[in-house]
Amino acid sequence: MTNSEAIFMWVAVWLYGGSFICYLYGTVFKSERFIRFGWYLALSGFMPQSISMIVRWNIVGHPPVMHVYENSMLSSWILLSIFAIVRFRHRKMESIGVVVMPVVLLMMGNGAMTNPQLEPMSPPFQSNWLWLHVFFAWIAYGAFCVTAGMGAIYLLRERILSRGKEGSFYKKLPSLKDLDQLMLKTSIFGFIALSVEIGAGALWAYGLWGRYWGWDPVETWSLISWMVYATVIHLGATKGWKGKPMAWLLIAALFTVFVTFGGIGFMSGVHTVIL
Amino acid sequence: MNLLYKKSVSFFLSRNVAITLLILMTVILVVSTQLPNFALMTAEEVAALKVGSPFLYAVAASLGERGITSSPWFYVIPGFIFLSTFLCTIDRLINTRNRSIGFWGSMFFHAGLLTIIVAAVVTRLTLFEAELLLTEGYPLSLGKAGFLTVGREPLAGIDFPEGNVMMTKFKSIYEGPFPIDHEALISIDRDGTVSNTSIKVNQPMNIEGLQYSLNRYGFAPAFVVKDSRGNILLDAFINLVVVGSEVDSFEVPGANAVVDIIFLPDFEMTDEGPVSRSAIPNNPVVALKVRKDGMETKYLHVKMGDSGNLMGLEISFPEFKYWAHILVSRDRGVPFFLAGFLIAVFGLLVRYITMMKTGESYEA
Ligand code: HEM
Repeated sequence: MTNSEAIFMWVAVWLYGGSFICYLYGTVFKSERFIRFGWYLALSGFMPQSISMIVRWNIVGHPPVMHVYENSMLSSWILLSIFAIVRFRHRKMESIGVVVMPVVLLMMGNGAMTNPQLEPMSPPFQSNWLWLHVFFAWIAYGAFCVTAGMGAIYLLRERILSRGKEGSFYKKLPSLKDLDQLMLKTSIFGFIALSVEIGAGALWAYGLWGRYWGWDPVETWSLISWMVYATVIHLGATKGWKGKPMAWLLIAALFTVFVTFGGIGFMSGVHTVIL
Repeated sequence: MNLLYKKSVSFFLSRNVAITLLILMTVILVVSTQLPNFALMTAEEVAALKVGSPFLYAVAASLGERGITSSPWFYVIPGFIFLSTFLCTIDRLINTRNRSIGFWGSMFFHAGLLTIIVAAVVTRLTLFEAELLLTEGYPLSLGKAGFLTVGREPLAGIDFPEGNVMMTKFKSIYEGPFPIDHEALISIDRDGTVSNTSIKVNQPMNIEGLQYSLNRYGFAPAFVVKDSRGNILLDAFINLVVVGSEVDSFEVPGANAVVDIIFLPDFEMTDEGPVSRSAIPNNPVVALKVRKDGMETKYLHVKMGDSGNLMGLEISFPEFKYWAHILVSRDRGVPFFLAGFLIAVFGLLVRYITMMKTGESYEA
């Protein structure tokens, strides 16, 4: 890793850490101001992180999609982008940062613990399907983290409402109705990305190994997450599930995503190295 | 009969059935991933499991990822999912009054899904898989006789292209110690007409519907082994399975001896002993050890072009070639899979965009 890349990356980590602390404080002590600080710090960390990734891209000559370090940077960056898009569209969604920021920090921390060696793209990775596969994977996982964040805020808000103690702070949180709608819509968005990820991965595998599906653990787990989200969406779309059960379901569904995550490069190496 | 038919149709039309089937398949797969996976274990580990905990072994063999996904019973579930989705889609097509753009998006998505299940069936019926091991300069038949192993063969059989295939040269390009490209240059001889092509990683060669993908490569050093009277016992290229510090071996015919080899393509003598700095053949050296009659020698390092003497055997290492391991396959399900994938994603996008644009949502 070059110095400039490392400096920008660590600046981002510190800003995100600050953002998380503000979010936590704001949520626990019901301070709207701290939540706002949290959001600003997250946004200001986004810049140095982007610069750090561009510096790396420029040196290695390929987007950051190889090995754990690059994937950690990319996945946390995409998660933040999705959070930012949702926040810009729905200002009240600012509060889900309390769930998003620790996940961002965990992802970056995981990457920081591994070898950030600068490497050119190895031959198996040189495929157009790879771009689709990796980018959409992280978009899907980012979207699912955000839906789980929405689920958590839903549960929090619902609890306060049911106790009849809704103060001015909670009125600033998104309404239950909005959360309900957005949870399902964002799940579908994530589901589209997950479908593209799996499809592109399968077609890539066909060129590499002559088979598009081989039931290896990573493939099986991506199918499991795909089916879990298909079930969740169906429960919402055809059985009218919403509210608390849906919120819990989305938080639980995130576990399958983390397992798939683990398989792809956070525990083992890379699931495709052949040559 | 009529009643049974009606009952089963309405059963599959129920929204609950689709959800139950999805949950069932998910649960079975999750359980399978929690059991020992033989594909990720060494033969010794599997054997140890079989002896140590026969029950777990038996459960893993039938319900583990490999076991369950190769059992025809497992595919009853996607079969039912197909039926249920198919009937439900037809039913919605006939009975839905308000056919908005979003509705068509949903239709396309479910149709894409059905096409993907069809693709899986077509794959199952038509898949052919084999391995081809090419050593530079040695022609092999393009047909079945040329294959190292044949994995899966379709019931309906398969026609192989006629002629011979030969790897004329294997090339690797490196950036520092990192490989950035591997290429097998291929010549195909069909009825005396020779054509040249190449296979790269991610860029397979296609001949008459068969796909040839470059999977692995390795070194094949040549060895000439003579006994103490100068008789040539062996003169061949040996395809080594491993590169680097691991040991491979070959038998010397007529000498009752085994030679262990470590191939060091980029040899360097360091304080910790001999190493290969990379996989680039800048300075190829073989470390050789002979085992004979319960005795064995120490490792002797022989540079390319040199020879060494071990237990009365003179072993020379004049040159080396590359070998390439090629996966040969044919799968008629791929076009269906690609079509289903595109249709499903298109449908989902239409559904999602209309939902965002119109604020329309799901009403149960
Ligand atoms: C395992 C197979 C299935 C999967 C993975 C699946 C997945 C999905 C997904 C992702 C959606 C949301 C996107 C959309 O609106 O199209 C959806 C919607 C829907 N699905 Fe399925 N589905 C499956 C089978 C079925 C079956 C068997 C039925 C009928 C019983 C069905 C009926 C519906 C209906 C009614 C909607 C809501 C459509 C709307 O409101 O526009 N699906 N499904």
